[in-house]
Amino acid sequence: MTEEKKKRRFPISGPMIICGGTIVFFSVFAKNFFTASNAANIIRQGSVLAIVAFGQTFAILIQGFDLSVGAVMGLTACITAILMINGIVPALVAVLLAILVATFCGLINGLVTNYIGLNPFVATFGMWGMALGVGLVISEEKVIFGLPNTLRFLHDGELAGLPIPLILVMVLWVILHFFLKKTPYGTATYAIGGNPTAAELSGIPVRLHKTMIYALSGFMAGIAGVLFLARANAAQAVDTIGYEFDSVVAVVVGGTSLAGGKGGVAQTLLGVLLLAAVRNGLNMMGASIYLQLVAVGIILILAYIAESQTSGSKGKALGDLIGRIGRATAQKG
Amino acid sequence: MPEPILRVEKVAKSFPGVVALDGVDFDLLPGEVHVIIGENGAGKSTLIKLLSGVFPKDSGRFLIDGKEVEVDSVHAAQGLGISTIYQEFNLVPELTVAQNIFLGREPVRKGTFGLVVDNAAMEKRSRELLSSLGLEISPEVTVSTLSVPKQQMVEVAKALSTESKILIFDEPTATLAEKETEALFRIIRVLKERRIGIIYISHRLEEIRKIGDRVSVLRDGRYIGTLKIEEASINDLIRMMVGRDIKDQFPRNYREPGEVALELRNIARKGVLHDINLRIHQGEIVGLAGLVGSGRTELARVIFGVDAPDAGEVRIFGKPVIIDSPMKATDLGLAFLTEDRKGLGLFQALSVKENVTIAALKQLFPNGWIKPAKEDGLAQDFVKKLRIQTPSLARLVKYLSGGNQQKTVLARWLATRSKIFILDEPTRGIDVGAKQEIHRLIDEMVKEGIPILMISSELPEILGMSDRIYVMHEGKISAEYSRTEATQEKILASAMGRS
Repeated sequence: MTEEKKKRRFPISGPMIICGGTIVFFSVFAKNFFTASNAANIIRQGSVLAIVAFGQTFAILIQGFDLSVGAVMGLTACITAILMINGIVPALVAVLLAILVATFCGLINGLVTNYIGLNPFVATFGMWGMALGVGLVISEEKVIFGLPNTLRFLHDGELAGLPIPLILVMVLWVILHFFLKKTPYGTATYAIGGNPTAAELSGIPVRLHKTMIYALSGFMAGIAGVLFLARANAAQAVDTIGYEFDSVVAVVVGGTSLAGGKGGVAQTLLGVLLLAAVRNGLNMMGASIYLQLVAVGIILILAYIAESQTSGSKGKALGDLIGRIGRATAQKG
Repeated sequence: MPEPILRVEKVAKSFPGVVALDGVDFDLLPGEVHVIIGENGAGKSTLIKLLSGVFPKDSGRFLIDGKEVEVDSVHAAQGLGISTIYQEFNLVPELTVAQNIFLGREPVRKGTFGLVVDNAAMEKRSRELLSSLGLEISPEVTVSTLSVPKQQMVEVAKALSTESKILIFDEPTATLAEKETEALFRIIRVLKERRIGIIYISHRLEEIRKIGDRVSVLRDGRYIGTLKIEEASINDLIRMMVGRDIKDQFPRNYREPGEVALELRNIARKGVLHDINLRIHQGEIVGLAGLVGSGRTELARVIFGVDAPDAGEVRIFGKPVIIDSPMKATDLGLAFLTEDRKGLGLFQALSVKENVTIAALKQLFPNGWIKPAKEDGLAQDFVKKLRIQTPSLARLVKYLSGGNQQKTVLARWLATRSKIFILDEPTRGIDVGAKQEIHRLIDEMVKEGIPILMISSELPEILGMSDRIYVMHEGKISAEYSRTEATQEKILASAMGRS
């Protein structure tokens, strides 16, 4: 029992150590890494990933995942940009409409996985294709330039000396953390991920709940898409592809179990920080974006091995993943 | 006699191809422990699942406190005060005890629109609940850190937190040691004092007498009768459970068994198998009987090298061998038909031909070059010999009937020229006609001298097919009977640890 208490006090020690080690590494080897201005940079760069990874955390907590987020972010950015440039609606309405579309994409993911019974891999990968395709069609495969300056504020602005993206991330983080840890819906989320049968037998509307979680993931991807647009100041449907990968990495590196039912947005924030720091540090050392991708891939696998070993049985998490893919294939057949 | 809190009238339930319950009557008094017993497949689990709203009944009535009720969902069952404690626990390991107890019904803080769980209240009520049962479990610990019996106690507390009037225990002691069983019984006595009606499913006739008030017997989905515990002798109960005669429906040709093919000496595996001694001769079918969880499948897994024994010796045709992997087992000529035919035995997405030949390819084509004509020929031989009904060799196995699928698995092992067969539930899920066909095939195999170890939950199958029968109980061989000695009553008594 004492061991359990200990575990609860330091639930994220593994990623914390890696995170600290990374920061020390880059502080030594990358010039100007350990500076206040670069810290602000990392936070700005990490903010988009943080928001989409929060949504991904929920999907993974309920034994699912959402591969559509990268494409949905691009679609959101395109819709926002087109609506704003054409001046059809006020900027705020454009943003809200685009996020609504993203939420709808997530809702479809949820309905298809839970009510038609498709594996989330198929459902969300299908949505990835659809969202990307629609994004390319409405943007006519071009980069959409010439946005009014209203959005820049979201990314560059400050409030009480803090970058707006940081404030946005912290607000969402607090709300979602509170949701997970304090509300009955949060408990239900863990219950569904930990033992779906028990959740069902306790009268939790499992399918509905899971559907809403996918909608939430879409919603978060929508916000992330808008923030991405504010940063890039131009919209392109393919620009955000890759966030599905990074978001899953951030969640896993943070320590949320791919088997479901364990972890949370608190952990994910750490994973995001680590990832953002690595990318930033490599950037400063002059590594290309492609090399960064290699590094992120390595981190994913290392973090996964670390997680499966600390969780007691070696390779358990990996086994779970393989099992899930296996079951998915079996269901299909 | 007081009014029953629950009355079950003429309740029936069928699944495709099986009548699981056929007009069952049953009633439960407040403060009573009503035991339900029956063989594997007698309909106990189905009855529980109907009562707890897992699936709907086809016909009949449930009455609670004299009023007819519909139990059409798990939620409805809870609303009516029916709670079930299943064999496999339904707790969420990563949540705390209190969170589990109140899962789906968390108390919320006032003025938060139902958004904020009142942890203090939840833990306080959990603590009260647990201590009223005399349990020292702290509500804030994570369930995964608790031992199995303590988790079961949490389940009981969870059931009581919904103000249950009727509590169903599905083989609650299957996973408990004796001392833990005592603790459970103490709690059940507390529940009785609170006038809660308890339905208690068990295989263990001894413990039934300790805790039960009345006992009802189910057999083949039918209600056989109810007795007061003090009036029910164990022999009566066994007779009620077995009931039927076995007609001469099993095609067997008995002959003198040959030399010993497989011998186990003092095989043990910690916590699962204890001191197993067993022999199988050539040309002999040895039946392995026992209730679910008695260690039959575990024994087969050890023989086939899936699990390693901690002690003991295995001999094949007199030679001591070490079987440390299924590959080694097949090299030694062992064949294992698993009870999970669909999941483990067949390649669903491959053709009949491939399923038959896949394990024999290496023997057949040692230089790695498959000659299609020869492969076809081999497959065709077995399809004909085992009368596998398939439109063509190319037919995917998943489209065959259960009986023909099982024949396909048999063919695969025969194709590898296996010398010793272990059959785990060879006719499970196969319809009656095809069953006989499989039985005839098994008999033909024995005629050719192949020794067979047959695990089965169906007593008639064990009795009708075996030359000799071993009965397992709690990981031990509790009895051995020859074909002439064996009766259903004896086997069942041994399977329940009463020999």
